[in-house]
Amino acid sequence: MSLSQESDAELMVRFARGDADAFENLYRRHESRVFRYLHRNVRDEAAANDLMQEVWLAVVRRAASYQPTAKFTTWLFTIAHHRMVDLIRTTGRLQSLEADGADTPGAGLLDSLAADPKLEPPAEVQSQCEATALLNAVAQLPPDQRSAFLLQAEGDLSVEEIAAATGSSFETVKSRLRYARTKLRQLLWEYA
Amino acid sequence: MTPEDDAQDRELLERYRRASDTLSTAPNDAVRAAILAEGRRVAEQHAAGQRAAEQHATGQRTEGARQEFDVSHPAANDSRWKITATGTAGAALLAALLFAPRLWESGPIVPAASSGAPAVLNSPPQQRAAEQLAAEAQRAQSSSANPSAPRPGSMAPREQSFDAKARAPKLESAAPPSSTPALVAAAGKTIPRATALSPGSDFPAPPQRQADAGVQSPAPAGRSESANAAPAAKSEPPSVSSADRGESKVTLEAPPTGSPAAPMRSQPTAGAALRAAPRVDKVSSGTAPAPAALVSAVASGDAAQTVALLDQGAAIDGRDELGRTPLMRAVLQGRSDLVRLLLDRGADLHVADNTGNTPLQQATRQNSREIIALLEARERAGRAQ
Repeated sequence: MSLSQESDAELMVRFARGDADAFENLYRRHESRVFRYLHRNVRDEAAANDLMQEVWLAVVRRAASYQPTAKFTTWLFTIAHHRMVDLIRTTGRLQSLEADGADTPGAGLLDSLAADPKLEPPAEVQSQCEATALLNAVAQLPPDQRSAFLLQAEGDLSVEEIAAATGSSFETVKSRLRYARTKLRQLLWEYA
Repeated sequence: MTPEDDAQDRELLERYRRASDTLSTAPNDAVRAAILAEGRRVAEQHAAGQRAAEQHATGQRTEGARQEFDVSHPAANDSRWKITATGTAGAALLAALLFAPRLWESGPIVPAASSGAPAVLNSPPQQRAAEQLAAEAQRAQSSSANPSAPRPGSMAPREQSFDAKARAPKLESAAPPSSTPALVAAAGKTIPRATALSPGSDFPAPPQRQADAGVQSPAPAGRSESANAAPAAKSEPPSVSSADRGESKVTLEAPPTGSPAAPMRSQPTAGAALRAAPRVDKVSSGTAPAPAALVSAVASGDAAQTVALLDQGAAIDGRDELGRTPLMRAVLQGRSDLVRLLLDRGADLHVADNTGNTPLQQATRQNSREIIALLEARERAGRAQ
């Protein structure tokens, strides 16, 4: 069985036994999802990179004591969430991030389209515009709703797992997800 | 939530994931390189630790294989054998300390002392006692063979009087008396055997049983002598009190002070030693009646039984469960004859029962004038003495 076919838990066990390739495979498998979760929460690339490094270094340090009792992604996104909350708590950058997302959905997309010669086909332009609008709508969600939605969308966590990762109750998480989806639909409808 | 809502939620999630993939972002190369480098470094550490652990396990297995199990010395294979050995030695020492004094006190049974070499004893005190006993036996033999022969040393008057008694016709044994009660106590079991010696013989004669004269052996008293000198001092010189009545059962009873000497027993050594002790009280032998028996006899007004029990050595001031003495019961019964009998036998008229009543108080309460007179007369006589 190749490394790409092994489960996350198996890769972690192999890494704990000294297999560097297992860790690299595991990292590449979850790199984008973790980074997007962090980036779309803090909306700052430098901060997202710092958080990314902290999260994975934490994974490396805890590999020896890792017990595959839960899904690896749950464990991974729990670490990511805690690191992000710590950063927001220490720097207070959440307020500025919320202010940054107050602009019109898709406004940044138009600027990027003008500067990017590759996005000329109308379908791709439309797709890019829709994607940007959706992501901007996510950025406008309240922090708790946004974090819960991103954990579900990027981490593929269930409501229970989100509740465990964020330290919230099941009903609270369920409510946040419902409000988040309602607001996103509203924003997307307005955009359409 | 309706199924329609679920479909809309799923559609929203799909749209977001497509948008996220379209505008995907990734950490910069430096961060990625740093994370992977740290991952490789830690992986190498884990691998090194894993190898060390395996080597340690392998080394332990090798060491374990090298240490062969010593079947011939199973205790040596126990890592705590020192503790076990120390505990065993301590227990043995404690047991020795506990039992050694008992063995020292009891000592071996002294063989019959012959006229020749004394018996070999383990303990010096017993050896000295045996030597003294042998010397006494030798003197007694010589004196019985030649009464006019001079005796070495001087003897106490009590011993001399005993010797006169020992030469009396009733004396069945020519064994020597012991000089002191302490010696009797120290000699212990040697007394009966020494008395069984016959003159001119190196071997002890068979013990003369009490069937000869109907005398009961004072074996319990002799045994108590060997264990402790105090009981021996309190014991009475044996005398045949019931022989006059022709009874086969004999109790040990002290002769009244000032009365003629009782017939000698077949245990002159013990008798002399016990006579040397002052008369303390009437003490029955090991088969003395219980105090309650005498109280019961008095309560039933059985004068004959009361006399019999007193003759058998029943404690005259023995108490029942209410603390009442036979004298108190006689007062309660109004039996002046029994009161007189008990007073003549030495009953204490000042002994109170558990409620604090003395016989005189009880007699006064009952207005038993004869008994009151008896008690007061005895009390006056006691004060006059």
